[in-house]
Amino acid sequence: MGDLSERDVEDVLGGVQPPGRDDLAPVVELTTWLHVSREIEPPPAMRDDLFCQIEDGLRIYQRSSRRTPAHLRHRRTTTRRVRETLAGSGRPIVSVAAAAALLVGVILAVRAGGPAHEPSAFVSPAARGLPGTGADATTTTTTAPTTTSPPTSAPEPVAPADAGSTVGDSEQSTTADGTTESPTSTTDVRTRGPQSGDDDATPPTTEERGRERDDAAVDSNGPGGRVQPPPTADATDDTGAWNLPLSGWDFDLSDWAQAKALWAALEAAERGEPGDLRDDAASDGDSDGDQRNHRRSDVGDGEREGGEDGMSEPQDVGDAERERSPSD
Amino acid sequence: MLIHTRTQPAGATTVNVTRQRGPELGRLVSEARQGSIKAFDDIYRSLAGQVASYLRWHRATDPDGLTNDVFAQVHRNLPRFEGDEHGFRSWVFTIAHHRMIDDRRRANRQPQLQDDLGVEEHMGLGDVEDDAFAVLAHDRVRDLLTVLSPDQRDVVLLRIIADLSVEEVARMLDKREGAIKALQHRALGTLRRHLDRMAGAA
Repeated sequence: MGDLSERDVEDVLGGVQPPGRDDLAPVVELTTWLHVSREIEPPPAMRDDLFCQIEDGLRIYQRSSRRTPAHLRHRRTTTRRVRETLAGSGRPIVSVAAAAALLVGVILAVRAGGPAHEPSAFVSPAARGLPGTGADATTTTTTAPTTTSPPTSAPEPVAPADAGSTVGDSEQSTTADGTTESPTSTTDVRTRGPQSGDDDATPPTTEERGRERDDAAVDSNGPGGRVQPPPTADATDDTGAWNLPLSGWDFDLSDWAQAKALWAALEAAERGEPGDLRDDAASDGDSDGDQRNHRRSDVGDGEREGGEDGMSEPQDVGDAERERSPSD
Repeated sequence: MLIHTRTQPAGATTVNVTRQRGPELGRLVSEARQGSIKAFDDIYRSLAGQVASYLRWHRATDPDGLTNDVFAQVHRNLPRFEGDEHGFRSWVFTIAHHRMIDDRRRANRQPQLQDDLGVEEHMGLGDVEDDAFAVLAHDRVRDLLTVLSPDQRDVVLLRIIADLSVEEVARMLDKREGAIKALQHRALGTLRRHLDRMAGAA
């Protein structure tokens, strides 16, 4: 092939037969066919992603050359929107919480023989003639005891939804021993409770948790619910009725002293007061008590610095007040 | 500017082809860089067929899909491109060449079940007789290209299909111009000897 000049090579590659070189005709035919095939080759159909990429413009690719094509971004946005819609409703979580609360309430009621034993245990505050209950008393919520935070005090009068109209009566709560306390004092009890410990950096105390549970109970009671002050009296002195606002059912557990004693022991254990909680729970044969005990054993030691006499919160408050008054 | 090129094969076959090159392609590239969708569409229409043909002669597994990939990359990197129409053409075929190499590596890892389906339908000229001859010619040319070494085949196809100069091919393949000239010289000699043997055997 040494007889091919550089110009002949260029002519052959260009599809032109060099003059006087008939021996190169088959090669020229080959290169010509290549030229023809290149020209008659139609442009392939543009794919959707390329089409969208071009339509999306060049500006976005000036910012980032690896940006996702428009149609993929739209799909992701749609997916995200659907997820937000589903998550925003929150219905599954609320449903599960409500179902759990209802289940625990039913279990407690069945054990106490609540609705079966006393099917008409619910007594509306209006029917009782408790002070502060007017015509709108049926719309109010009964005392705080729930399945997760049993009371250690006597039942408290129901506060009306419109508290301002019955200030004189509704702002007072009657304890188990007949004494009357203002809501302000009970609020102080709740706020002073954690101060009974020495360590401020301790984990959330049981009272704080109880407050969260109370808030949750208020939420479950609906918009008309009202936060009731926590019980202030000893559970053993409780002779009033317990009303559990569970899905429209109220259960009277006033005659279940054993359960109340267990709850009192649990509360005492939360406050760090020594008690025979396990023994009580074991004697009752209540496996739930053990479980609660295990759950609440997570409470830090800093919370278990209360009195050892099993006294409830008012006495702690009294101690706190006594500790504070000399300093003042 | 549209240039009508008349290609004169040795067999006295006359084919009129239309090419977009020179200032026309340069203007389209300039407008496409400024965000003109129509300009990029025109570029695609003028070059996509050649890119697909280049990939098809290299026996790419999916020439049409690879062509779309090539122009997707061209579109992404177009704002960063600097050069004239010759540089743009060389740049596009450089991307196509790299895509072809990647596709060849993939094909080596994954055995190919079918060989070059759909070539004939793209070579259709509208007439059954012409299509038959086209298919025969295409198969013959494809067989002839197999006698070349990979480097020789790359140089011949880049010179003819991509219509690149010796300098541009050398830059693309990272070789010296002398090496490119030697490769194309040897490629034509190999083809002539092979065709002579076939003619003698017939």
